[in-house]
Amino acid sequence: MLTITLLSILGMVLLFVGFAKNINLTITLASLGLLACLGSLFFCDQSLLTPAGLDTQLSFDPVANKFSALILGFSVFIVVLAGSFIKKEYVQSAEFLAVMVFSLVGAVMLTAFTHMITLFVGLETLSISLYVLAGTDKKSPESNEASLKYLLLGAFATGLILFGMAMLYGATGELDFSRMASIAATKVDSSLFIFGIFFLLVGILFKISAAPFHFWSPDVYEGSPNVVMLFMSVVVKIASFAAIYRIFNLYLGNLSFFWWDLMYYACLISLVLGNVMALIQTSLKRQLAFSSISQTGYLLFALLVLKGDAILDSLVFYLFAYGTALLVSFSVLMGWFGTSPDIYLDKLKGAGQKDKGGSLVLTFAFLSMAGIPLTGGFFAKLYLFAPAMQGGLITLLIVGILSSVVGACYYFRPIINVWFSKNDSSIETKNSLQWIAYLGGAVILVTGLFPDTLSALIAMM
Amino acid sequence: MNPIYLLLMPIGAVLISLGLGKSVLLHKLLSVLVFVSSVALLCLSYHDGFGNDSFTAPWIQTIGVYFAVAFTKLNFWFLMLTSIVVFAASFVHITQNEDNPRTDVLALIYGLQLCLFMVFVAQDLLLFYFFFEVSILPIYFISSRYGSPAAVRATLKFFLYTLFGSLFMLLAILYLYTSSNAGNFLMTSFAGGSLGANAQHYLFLAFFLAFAIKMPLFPFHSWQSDAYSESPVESTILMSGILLKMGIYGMLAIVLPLFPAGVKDLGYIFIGLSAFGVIYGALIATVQYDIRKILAFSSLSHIGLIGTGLLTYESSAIDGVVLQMFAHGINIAGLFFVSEIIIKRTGTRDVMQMGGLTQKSFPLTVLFFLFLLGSIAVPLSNGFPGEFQLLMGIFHYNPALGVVCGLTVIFSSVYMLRLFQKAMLGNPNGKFLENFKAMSSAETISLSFLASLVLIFGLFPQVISSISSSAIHLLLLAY
Repeated sequence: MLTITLLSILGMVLLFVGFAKNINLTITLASLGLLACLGSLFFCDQSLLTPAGLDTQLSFDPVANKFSALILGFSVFIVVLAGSFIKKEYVQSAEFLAVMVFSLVGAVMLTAFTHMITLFVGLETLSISLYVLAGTDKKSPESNEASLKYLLLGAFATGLILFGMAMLYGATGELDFSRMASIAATKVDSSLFIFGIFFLLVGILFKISAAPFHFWSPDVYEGSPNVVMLFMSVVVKIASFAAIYRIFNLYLGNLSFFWWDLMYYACLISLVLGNVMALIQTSLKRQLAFSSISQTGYLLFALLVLKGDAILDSLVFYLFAYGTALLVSFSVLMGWFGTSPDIYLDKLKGAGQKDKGGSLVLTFAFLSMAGIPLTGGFFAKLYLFAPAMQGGLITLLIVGILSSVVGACYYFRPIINVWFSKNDSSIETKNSLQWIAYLGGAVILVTGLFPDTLSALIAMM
Repeated sequence: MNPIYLLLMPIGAVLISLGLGKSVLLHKLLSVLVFVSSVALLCLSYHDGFGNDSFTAPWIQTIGVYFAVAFTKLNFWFLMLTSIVVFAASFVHITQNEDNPRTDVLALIYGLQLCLFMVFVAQDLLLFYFFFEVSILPIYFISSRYGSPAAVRATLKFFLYTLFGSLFMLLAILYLYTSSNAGNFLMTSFAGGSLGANAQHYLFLAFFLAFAIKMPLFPFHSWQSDAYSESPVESTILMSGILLKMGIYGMLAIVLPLFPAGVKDLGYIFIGLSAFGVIYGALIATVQYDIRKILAFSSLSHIGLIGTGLLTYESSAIDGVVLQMFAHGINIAGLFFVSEIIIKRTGTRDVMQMGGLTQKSFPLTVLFFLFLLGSIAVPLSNGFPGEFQLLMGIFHYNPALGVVCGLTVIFSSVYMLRLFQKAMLGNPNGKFLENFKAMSSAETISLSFLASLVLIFGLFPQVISSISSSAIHLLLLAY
């Protein structure tokens, strides 16, 4: 709880720092503050600064710590990368960062809830902040469209989740997840419970943009400012998977009878649809949005194998590898294209001749997303495939590897445009934040050669 | 001797070559140095008798992957061929780009050498898989970046094909891992044949798919001719000379010992298909006009024969596999080298526009003819003993099939001699020979070296089989 309190304080402080009109100060403060919050996860007693009553509704167990560490770690870099966007004259820098930090309050809460109220408050704090963030490029019609579309569809999904929660409460009389699960285990015949689980799962599948509940995500991703898209596809994905892991593995893992089939088909459809749709895009942002749907499919493997806690580290490893790859690619792309919201694949042509270093790490990032060896993404996939093989999910694995091949098709398109095109490129090469890309590239390579370093780190958390 | 030393060398070569800039002489020296020292290290390992030549260290403890490498009698000639072909490829690049040798290409070639060494020495299935797949990357980048405009498409096709196959192999490896209780991926923990026949069938299919695409065997070959003809010559040499040998090695080291029931029960389907590929490749080669495509389809035909021999499980055929894969690597590297010299100097790949090269460059004619002899397996050339043993084994397996495959002897003479006749003999064709430069000394020396191997291993094939055959007899025990 301490981390959540600190984050809330940081957000409010940032709002006041906005009066100083000094963007660099705001960014520095925000990133240092986030680092402090990250530190508080491991070095402080979480029961500090906790309002009475909330301590039973939030639990900073290893699950929460691992996911929160990922969320806060990535956010530090994303805040730094936000600099170029919030320097636009009509963007309110302090408000932007404050809203981002507020959304992190929700994200961290989603990793630690034990109770339906904290789940719902976390989910809404995250979502409402995101509706605002998606529309921060206020002079761009696409950004406004993204924001409105996200709000309308997101509100609908929230409605479904609330509906599901109400039914679960009706079926069991409990709002606390573990007590609810133990009651449900004794009276499994309740159709109210089944519907409750169904609506809750559908709502959450919507939030993680699993097909067939994905229709909002390509439009929202494409319309949002680049840095917000990065934030959504990394931090929000981690937070939503923390939530889905907590509910369906930690608490309802023994009741898989109720939800397994729905999740299985969502996983299959996400793999196929995400990859096939990504294949036909001309905009890199849309392509990444669809690829994010297919990555959701791979991530769902972790929940389908039902191996209890053993799968947690694999899930965190995957989210780390995927997040790093996205962070690297966006920090290169944002250096090349600035705040321009349209990143078409054609615009990448010939970039390799202008910026060799950036192109190289970008290549690594895409190879990692495609799961090619030598990158962390390979082991991320391997660590999910191996338990799935143990669980006997052969059909799913075969669909998974077939869609990996399709995935390689489109992940190679930016690589091909960058390196093998003779065009003159008009990219911007002055990028003071390229170090983030290099750092990330090194991390991708190290985790691709010595995955144990990362596994050990994750196991320690 | 510890195999690590062999692996350190390409790593060093990558780093050094990146620093050498545009100096042709230094690049040549490095290439020779890498070649000589790796052959020397291999000879040392031979001298040690392969007894204690292994190194094992934990690599990924989370799932039990070991960095386990060893020199064995089986991988010796594969490693030797890797050194030879990498030498040929790097020399082709340096000699054909004297004005502008590209450090990135050379560094990628040495990087590929490391991957290949790792594939051949790996004693851990996941380590094998890891480098099996990584090895596509250097070739992908060389081909797409420096090939013809159509190369980008052709090599992506190659990449996706091989990825498709190897992912099935990954699933099979994971199945082996989860079904055995060893908790690691060491090849030795899967030996012993505890698998049921049904499992062996599926595993055979998965592994075979990966290796058959890599080799490629009919009907998994459709990436091949485009990739071979559109890539720059150094990557064509690498692909045809050594990359496809990973598939052959995989068959020998993994499929035959681990899934004998799969080979026995399902092998006949693929024997038939790859025997068909022998004739099919040869027939297409006879009607091609593009010199690169002739060589590509000749390679399909030769590899088809190797594939057929592998699956028959006949000891003489499998002896022949090692002989023939070694001979094929040298011959095809030499032939592509020669073809590049011709293409570079005349600017055409069309054999109908060629002619009369003998009058311009006699050494080239002789060297070309030597590789050609090896390729059509004339006695006393290196192609003969392997092809003979393969055909003998196939004949023993099924006489009718032996006869069909035996036709390759005739067909290969037809298309190779046709190629030789059109390109080298006859009257010079107009402006074709106008600017034909004589061969440089580097070209002559490196090609002569390769050509001498054609003769040496044609005269003394027992050098190869004396090492490999005992390993092969061990393989056959599983059957």
